[in-house]
Amino acid sequence: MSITLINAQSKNKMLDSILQLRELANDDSTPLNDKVKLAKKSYELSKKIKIDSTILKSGRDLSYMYVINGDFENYKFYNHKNLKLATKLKDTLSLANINQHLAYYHYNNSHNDSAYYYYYNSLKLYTYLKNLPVQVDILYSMANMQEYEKDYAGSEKNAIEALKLLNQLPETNDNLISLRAFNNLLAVISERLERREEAIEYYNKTIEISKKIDNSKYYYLESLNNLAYTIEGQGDLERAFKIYNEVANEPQLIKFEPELYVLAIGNVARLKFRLDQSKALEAKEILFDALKITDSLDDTINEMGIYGFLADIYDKTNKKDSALYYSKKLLEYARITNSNTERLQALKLLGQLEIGEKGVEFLNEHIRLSDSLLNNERKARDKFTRIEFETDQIIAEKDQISKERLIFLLSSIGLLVAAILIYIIISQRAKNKQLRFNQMQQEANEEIYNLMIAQQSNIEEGRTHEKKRISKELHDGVLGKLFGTRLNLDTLNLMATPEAMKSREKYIHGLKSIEEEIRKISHDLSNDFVSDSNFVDIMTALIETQSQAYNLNYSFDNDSLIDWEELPNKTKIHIYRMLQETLQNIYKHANANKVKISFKLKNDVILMTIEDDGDGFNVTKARKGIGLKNIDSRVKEIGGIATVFSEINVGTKFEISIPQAN
Amino acid sequence: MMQELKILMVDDHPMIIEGYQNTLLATKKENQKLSIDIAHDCDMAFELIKKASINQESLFDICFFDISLPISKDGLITSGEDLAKLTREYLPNAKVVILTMFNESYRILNIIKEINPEGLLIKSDLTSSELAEAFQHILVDPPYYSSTVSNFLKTTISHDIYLDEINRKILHLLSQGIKTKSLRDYIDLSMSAIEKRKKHLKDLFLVEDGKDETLLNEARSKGFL
Repeated sequence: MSITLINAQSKNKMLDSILQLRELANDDSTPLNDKVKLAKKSYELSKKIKIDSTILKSGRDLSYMYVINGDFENYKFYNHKNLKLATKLKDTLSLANINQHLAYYHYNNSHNDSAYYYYYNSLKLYTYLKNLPVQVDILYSMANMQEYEKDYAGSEKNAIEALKLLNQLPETNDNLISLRAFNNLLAVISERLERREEAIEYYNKTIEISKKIDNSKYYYLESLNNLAYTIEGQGDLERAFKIYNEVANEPQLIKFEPELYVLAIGNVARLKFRLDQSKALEAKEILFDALKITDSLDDTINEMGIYGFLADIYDKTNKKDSALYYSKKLLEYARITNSNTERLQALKLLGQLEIGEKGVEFLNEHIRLSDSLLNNERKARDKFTRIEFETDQIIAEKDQISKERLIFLLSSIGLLVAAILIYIIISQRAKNKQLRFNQMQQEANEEIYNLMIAQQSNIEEGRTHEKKRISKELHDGVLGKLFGTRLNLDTLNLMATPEAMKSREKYIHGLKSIEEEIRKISHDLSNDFVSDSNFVDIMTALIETQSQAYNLNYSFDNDSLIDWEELPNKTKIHIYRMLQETLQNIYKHANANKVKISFKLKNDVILMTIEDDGDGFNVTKARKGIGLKNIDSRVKEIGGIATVFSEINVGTKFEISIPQAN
Repeated sequence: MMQELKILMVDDHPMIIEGYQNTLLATKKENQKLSIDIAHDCDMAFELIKKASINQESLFDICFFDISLPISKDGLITSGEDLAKLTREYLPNAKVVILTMFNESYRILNIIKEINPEGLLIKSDLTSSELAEAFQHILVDPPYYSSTVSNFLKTTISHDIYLDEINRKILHLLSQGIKTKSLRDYIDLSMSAIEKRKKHLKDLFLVEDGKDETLLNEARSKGFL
């Protein structure tokens, strides 16, 4: 569990130890075995701190340690792990390198298809990274594999590609060696395709290049030997023989390049015999010498070649037994080294040399082998092209898939965003609508309250006025009279004369009239001289002032059954405004003298009628003015119905029915 | 020695004048002879005052004025107060007695300030004996104020609060139920000036809750209303 709880400090410590381990592992003085152990340790630590790039680096170090240690299975195992990680990290450089390693692994195990596949991948990545030297190396491996598999066209193409790259690189010793190698390869291919002139041209180039290479003797001689072989193929045996001799006679060659020496003297011996069959003995002597050297060198390839030459010489000098012996040796070695050309040669010879069934068997085998080789060749020729094609196709498919995914992702996101936006807009609209509605309601309420307050203050004014009047009446009238009466009675109280009594009676009688007066005032008070402000008052006030301003006679009739208090303020304010607007319209357009306004209740519907005796208009023709439109929209708002009746010179009648329960 | 007294009585209620006459006649001293002129409105009263002033013979010794009277036809004389002022001008030796139904401190103080009458009687307090006493008192040793008036004066003086005429008027109008916004119709001041004065009044009367009602209660308890 401590792994998951690693804190930053111990992480740093671990990183330090990883770096230390790496350094130790890469130290040249560390023994190979320890190198692997150290690399492995650093890899395990890297896995603990869970940093992918660190794991990858350690993994690559480790796989490298395995390959230099010859542990190819672990080499492959860790490279596959590294490949996954690098793909995840999209680390192109590592990917290129790991592909190269995997190619190397397969190449080493003769899985040429897989090797080619990884090389091709690696090449593409290095091309992307513009690493020319590594591209050249990879192209060399690829071209060689193709040449081996007899895909000459493919090999040639890759080799020429490599030459183009090499041209861009400086002329260092290493690059010269590569240049020579590619020219040599092209020469070999030309040779195989029997384009000998071309092959000679390439070989001459390799000879020229070899001269520029440091310690170039071997390269030079080998190229000469190859050139001679081609010339021999052309039929110019004399010249070939001369060149073979030149190679073979190079002093000290036997010491520093014994294999080349064996090859050269073998060729000298062969040509000696070909030029002059009487020199078979000399040739054989040389070949036996060569055999001795190959024995000591354990050089199977050259040994096999020499068996071939010997078999040929014995066959041609009619020494059947020896020919048979060397043919069998040749076949044996060819089988060991898997050298098909030599096998075919041996089978052919044996077929000719053995009599009877045995010979037929060898010939049959020869036919089978050559057929299968031809077949394989045909198959192999297109194999690499196919691998390239398939690799490209896979990449293209991947690209396509990722492209499609991207498009899908983008369009999904787009759709989602659009949906969210639409949702927001719709909900916002709904909210706004609700808000507007509330606001309108609020405004209507405010308006009606304002009207009511205005009306209220009118009433208040009236009330104050009335109060003053009553107070004055009490003060001036009743109080004065009472005071007078009291004062007089007070005075008369002091007298006991009959006149005084008479006078008193007069004042007591006067109290009666005061009583009457008080009763009158009391009646005035109890009679609610101003009622509370209500909608009808508000409308009355409106009609009154408008009619006065517009010089109209009016009649206003309100059905007392209508419960105005129960009606929503919104409806009331619309009614008020409609009344106001209609009156205004009548004043502006109708030329009326009289207007009749009435509210009646019928089946829970308030019927508002406004009628004038003005000019009237043609209802069907009249274009709706702002006033009429306003009335329309107000009626709609409160769910009512408006009807206009009008007759020219008679008048106009508006009927607006408003449901009481809204 | 006979003392002949010429008297003017102005009141729009004949019954009240009758009462005055009866009382005074019934309670006059033996040596006093009363000759009483009466008027029921401002015009009539002013006529009498003017006539007396021109004649110089029949000068009024004492004039009784009611406050609320039908105003003169030309609208210049609106009340007993105006008449009293005119009397001071035309008949400087006449003693002025104001009889009024009004018993609010503002009105009373105002009358004293404007007219400084020799007698100030509040009708609601008045009995025939008091009237008789007041009459005799004023003749000898003016002024004579009704008990209500005396009380007002006492309480007002006992407080340190001094109110100028406008402030007293504001208090008075408010106590009449006049709204602040309507005060401008009665006082020749801007709204903000009125508000300032109201604020000042509330500070003076230590009104903490800022209500007009409290202000009026305080003013009333201190005798300003």
